[in-house]
Amino acid sequence: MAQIDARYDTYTKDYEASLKKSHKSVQDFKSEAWGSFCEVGLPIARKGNEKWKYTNVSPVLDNSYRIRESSIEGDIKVQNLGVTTTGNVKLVVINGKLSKEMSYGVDNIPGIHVTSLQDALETNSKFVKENLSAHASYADGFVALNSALFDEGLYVEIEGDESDVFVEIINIATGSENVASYPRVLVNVKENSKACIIEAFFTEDITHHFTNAVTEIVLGKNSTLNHGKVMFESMDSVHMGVTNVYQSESSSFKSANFSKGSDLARNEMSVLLDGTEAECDIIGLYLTVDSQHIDTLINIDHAKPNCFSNIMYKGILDGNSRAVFGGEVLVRKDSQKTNATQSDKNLILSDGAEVDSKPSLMIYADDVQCGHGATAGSINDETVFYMRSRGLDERMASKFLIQAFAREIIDQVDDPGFMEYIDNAYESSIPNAILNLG
Amino acid sequence: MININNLQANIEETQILKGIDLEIKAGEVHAIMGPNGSGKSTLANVIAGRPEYSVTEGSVTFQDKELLDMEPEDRAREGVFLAFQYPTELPGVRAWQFLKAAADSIRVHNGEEEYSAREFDQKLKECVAQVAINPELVKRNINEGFSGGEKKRNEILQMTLLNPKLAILDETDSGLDIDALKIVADGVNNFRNKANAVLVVTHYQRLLNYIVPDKVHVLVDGKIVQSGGPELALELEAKGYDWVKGD
Repeated sequence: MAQIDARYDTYTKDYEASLKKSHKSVQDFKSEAWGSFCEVGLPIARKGNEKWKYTNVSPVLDNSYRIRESSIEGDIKVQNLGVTTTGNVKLVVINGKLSKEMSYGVDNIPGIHVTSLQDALETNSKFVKENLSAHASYADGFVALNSALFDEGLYVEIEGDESDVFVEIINIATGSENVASYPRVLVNVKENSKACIIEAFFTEDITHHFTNAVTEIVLGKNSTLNHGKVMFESMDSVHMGVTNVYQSESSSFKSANFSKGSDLARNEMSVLLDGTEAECDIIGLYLTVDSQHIDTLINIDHAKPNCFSNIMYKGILDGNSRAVFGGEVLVRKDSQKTNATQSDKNLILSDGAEVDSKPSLMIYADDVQCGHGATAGSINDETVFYMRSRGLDERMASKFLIQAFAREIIDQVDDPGFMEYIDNAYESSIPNAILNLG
Repeated sequence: MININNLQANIEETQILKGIDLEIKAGEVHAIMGPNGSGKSTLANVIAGRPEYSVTEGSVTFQDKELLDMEPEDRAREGVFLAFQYPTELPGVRAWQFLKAAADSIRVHNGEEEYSAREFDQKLKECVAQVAINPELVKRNINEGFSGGEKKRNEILQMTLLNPKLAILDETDSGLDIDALKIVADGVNNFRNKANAVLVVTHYQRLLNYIVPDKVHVLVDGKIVQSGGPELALELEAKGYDWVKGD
């Protein structure tokens, strides 16, 4: 086994335990991942590391986060969890481990097949063998760590038009402080199929914990996935999330990302547009308060011509919080007729809050339509006077304007139940700030 | 209702209003006419409390209270309403929620209870029907993507809903076709009663065919140069503003 830095001792113990309970086929997979992790480590040395320039992940090492099973099953009312009450399929993952008892709805839908990654590897699933860790790279220490430590993992396969089915993967950290969770998901949306999958992250009854989530999504030819990610974990938690998406010809990927939890969080999403006429639309909203630090990185690789990508993010920052936004869109030499836009707009509510927003485009093709922009700003005076002239004081006007700012993103959520949930979740969290009006 | 004495106001360092005296009593409709740049809109906005203007002299008493000492929202709560010349789009602000908050802030100021959702829904429906506005518009974001005419009608809807004591219409007629103009005029005529007052600011006489004022004032270079009855508007229309300027 590779030598590893003593700072990773707790992870080593968890790795050894995880390996012991895995099946043989999974053991091979995990030991390879662990080998990579030992070489790569976590991105703690940030000097010259653009990807982690503004985010210090050393708190991940400061606490002894350990994998722990929770015995709370049955105490949580699943119906009350997640983002809609109407979700037909709920997959409940407690501390990174799928709870078969709490999950429901899966068996009733012929086009949706859910199994564990462990079982899929054990039964020699060609797709899983070829795709697991094929899209997420071990060059990222968090991907390697997750790959070495995940529990049984979750494999979701969609065949046919199941766009009416709202699949929620509900991740809950609970039971004991400093618990570590390594949720791992592989989604296969087959050719001509349609699906809607939300990944939600919550905390129950604890404060400090660490979530290291990796999701890989493969979209077959002419398929559609409506995806959502909800990061509403406790304000003392750490979340390191990586999502990798592979898109085939004429596939469509829409992703809505909402964050308002965690003390330190990173949400990284990489999309490879590897077939012509593929399109992806990624929207997101982060709300940061107090000393929160939320980092978002979106990579889009236009590897084939005639593809469309759109990134539209917004942030609301209060207190001494900090947000980081990086959008990296690559248009390769032969990817003519690419249409790529990205924007990140921020509303800053206090002098102590700060955003580092860096949208970037690297274009090697010549016949493209691309644009990007980032703003950090305030509200126009005319708007404020209009509201005040109707009897609203500054505090009320501020609240309306902050909500309105958020709503431009929330309004783009397709599913009405999901939209309402998000709308309410943010409404109750809007900081009671007075914008620097006029 | 409102008593304006020697009102002088600047924008930045430029003096726009150079001593306005005007009294409007309950039950009256007054029209302020004048050429471009005469200060008509400034007068309307100074009364409503637009922060860009600074008042250098004079007073504005509204129902025995000094309006100039109040924040814009307090003026609104006391019963002053300004229909904007260019109503602001509020992207993402839902009309229903915004209008309810506005109506409630005025009710609470007057010692009344906030509307329940159901009561407000009913009230808004009545107002929508009264001003013949497309009911879909109040389900959308305020003024966002509205046509010019829709924005102006939305102002009249708000006036009807908020039921102010003094309504000021700042060139509400500009950019309206004749049908929209009639709808706006109907809104104002339905609104006016013995207990409230209206100040219509306009460049053209056209609107005054439909909203017949009790008094017409002509504003030139920051001063009222002539006042009279409704016939003054017709005379201005016939002779042009040069006629009063040269007076």
